[in-house]
Amino acid sequence: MSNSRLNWKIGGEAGYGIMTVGEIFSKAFIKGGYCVVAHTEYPSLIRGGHNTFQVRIDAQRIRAPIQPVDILVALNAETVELDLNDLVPGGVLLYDAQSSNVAPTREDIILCEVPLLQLVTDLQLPKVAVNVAAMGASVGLIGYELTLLNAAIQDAFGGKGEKIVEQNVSAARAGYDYVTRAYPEPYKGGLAPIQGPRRMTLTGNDAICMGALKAGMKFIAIYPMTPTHTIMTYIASHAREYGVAMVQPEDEIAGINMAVGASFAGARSMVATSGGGFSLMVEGLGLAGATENPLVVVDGQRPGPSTGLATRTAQGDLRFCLHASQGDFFRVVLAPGDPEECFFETFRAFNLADALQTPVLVLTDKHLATTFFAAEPFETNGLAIDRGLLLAEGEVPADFKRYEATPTGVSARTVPGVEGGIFNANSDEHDERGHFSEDAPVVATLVDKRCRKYFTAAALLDGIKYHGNVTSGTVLVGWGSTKGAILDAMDFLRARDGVELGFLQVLFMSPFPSQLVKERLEGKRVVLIENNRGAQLGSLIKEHAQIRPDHTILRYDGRAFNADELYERIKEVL
Amino acid sequence: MGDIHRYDVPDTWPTWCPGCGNFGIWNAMKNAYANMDLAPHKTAIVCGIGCSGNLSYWINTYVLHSLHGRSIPVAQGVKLANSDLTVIVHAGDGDTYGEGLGHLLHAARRNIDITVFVHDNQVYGLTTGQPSPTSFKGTKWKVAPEGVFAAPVPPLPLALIAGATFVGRGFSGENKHLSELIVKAIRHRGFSLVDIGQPCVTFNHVNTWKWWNDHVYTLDETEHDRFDYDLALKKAQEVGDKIPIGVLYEVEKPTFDDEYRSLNAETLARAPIEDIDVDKLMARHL
Repeated sequence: MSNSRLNWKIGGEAGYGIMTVGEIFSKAFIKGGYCVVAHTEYPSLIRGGHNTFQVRIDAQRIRAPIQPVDILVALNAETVELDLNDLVPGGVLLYDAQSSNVAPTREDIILCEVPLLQLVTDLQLPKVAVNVAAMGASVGLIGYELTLLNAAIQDAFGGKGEKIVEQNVSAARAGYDYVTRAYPEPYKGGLAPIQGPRRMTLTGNDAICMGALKAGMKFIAIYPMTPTHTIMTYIASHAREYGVAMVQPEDEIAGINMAVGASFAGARSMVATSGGGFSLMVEGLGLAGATENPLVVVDGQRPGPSTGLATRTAQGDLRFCLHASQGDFFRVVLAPGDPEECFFETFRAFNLADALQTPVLVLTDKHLATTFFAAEPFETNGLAIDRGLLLAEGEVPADFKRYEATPTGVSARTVPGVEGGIFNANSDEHDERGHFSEDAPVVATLVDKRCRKYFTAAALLDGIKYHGNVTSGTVLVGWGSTKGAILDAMDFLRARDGVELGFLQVLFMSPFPSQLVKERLEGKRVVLIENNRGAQLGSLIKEHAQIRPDHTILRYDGRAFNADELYERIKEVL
Repeated sequence: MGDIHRYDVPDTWPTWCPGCGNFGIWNAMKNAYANMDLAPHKTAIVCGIGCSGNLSYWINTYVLHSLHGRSIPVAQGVKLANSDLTVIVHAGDGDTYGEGLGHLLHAARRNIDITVFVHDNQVYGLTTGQPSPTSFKGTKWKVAPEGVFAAPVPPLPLALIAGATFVGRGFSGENKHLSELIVKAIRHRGFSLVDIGQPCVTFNHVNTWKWWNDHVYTLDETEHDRFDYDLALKKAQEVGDKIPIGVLYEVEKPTFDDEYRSLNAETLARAPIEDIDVDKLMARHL
């Protein structure tokens, strides 16, 4: 009998390559036709903390983590102590009994003892290689193809030279050989490669970077902050190839102001941060709004306020992003829910920023930003650049008014260097030419101009996606990264209970798709699902669609929903 | 010499107080631009917030009238996006040495090719007269009736230590000298800081026109070696009985924008962005 799914978890001390393992192990299975969701949990420490990567593997389409795990790989005693209860009865603990000096306390599990440290020591490899030996051992235990793990190792270490690749391949081989000799019967009959679509292994941050590069982002300023710091790594390694200036500014205040300057000069510009950094950016956001400069801002949310939980996840910044800055101006706020949406919506964010000449905020969170997902390559045909009313040399009318109060609220724009297009991009309230004005009618006219963009944007955007059963009397509602867990929970409901629910995903929070939300939710039993305490989307729905959720399912302990946990919580309210 | 009126904004006149030092800076600036024949559309001025920043209303170039303290980051973004532009900052002492001091030091260490003119009147004027980061210790104000307790920020030594490659001081009362100084600072490739002494006739009753005239002296170019860093550092700290004006320091070094330019074949703002290929990126994830 062959298996079609597996939940695997590895834990160890920070500094021993747990993070690298997540990507490699995921990729080995994605290459073999499987769908994968691999998420990491780690404390805000560089050495000595407890790091885990949990890899859910399935022949079917999956989008979120679940509990419990089938195989727990413990690279240290602490993992056995902290994570043993994650194992399903009959599951396997793979650990190094020789070096870890720990006595597992459960009797309903299978022990798979592998002398990982001895194996890598025999190969004269450093201790850090135990993670790769453990992956090899796991592949042996699962009865999977070692060549696919080797291919993923090649992808990960190829840039570091053949020697490093060979060493890692030999460590994987040693773990594999040991386990297949000592435990010849694969776990639950084994997991063989299958025919599946060719898929990429990538995180939400990776997809955001690709979307930004595809959109022609030319300037990005990032002050390092978890969980968006990996955007820095990605862009930096492709900056030359794509002709991008990436600046690490002295702080987020400098970062956003540089981006406003670069945008004013004509380059598509972006900043990425988390809530704390975004707090510092708020005045600069208002500057972009007042001067009507296009700008894309990525907020990778994490629990707050203040430092909060630096390496965990939350959806607590929605209201903050909608209202950040004093005064009135329109900004777009959108929240992708998976890597595809990270790619396509980031691409669209740059077009919207140009078309509407205002900031566009893209909300992700640690879970979406750093979890590895499987995604088919993005179809980029048909993605067109729209720079809006950007005037080139020779296109500037004689009586050019940069801030003309047009019906759409969007007015033609020039950039320095264009003759005849001189204007003052004025943070002071101003007239249609950008000249400072305190004249009451002029002020009101220009405030109206900026805010009219709300309606212009609303006409461009649907703002929602509806998934599942359109006739369901119960509709789940969520936004952002909970999309994966909600869709997977719906799959469980369908398969286990024969219940087909509908799911309203709110993609744009500004402009808020009031009418569409109302149409989808009116007369329905509404179950709101959010990764925050305040039910912030719920309050928006009440405000814009006058609908009150019948049930709220909230999680705000710094962790994302597991699909099975969400399934149970939805069942409780059905 | 170009036409000085190219830089005028028609039908406007500055709203600075009669006798304000900003008039001298404004005139010297326009003279300098005319002298260099700067094309207004290829010049981007970034202003801060304060009496100095209001200059943005009365100069006919591309202008971004930014935030208090943030004009230097904005200017760096402009320069990186289009290094063909002449990028100039006009900001005040509160702007540059209070709210935005960190940005000044970081811009200096980057040696990015922008020119920063600080209208240093040692007072917050638009908020009716509080001491600024450069107000002298002990001077009395409505909000500091016992006198300012802290020593003033030393902007020029800080800029020198941080890596600025052009450091100068001017005085709005020495108009011809200031105009020439502005030309030199803009022509310099790299980060330039020029601190411009400027009386605030309404709120600063310490550093008056008379006070400035009694204290400034022009550096003799034959005696002051502007390429001598140690000497520049010494002269930069001379803010007592005598205050030198002129070019204190100048050195040629690679600029931040050059480093970025070497990465990118095209000016960022003009690089074509249609049909960028990301298939090769996606392939790396397969």
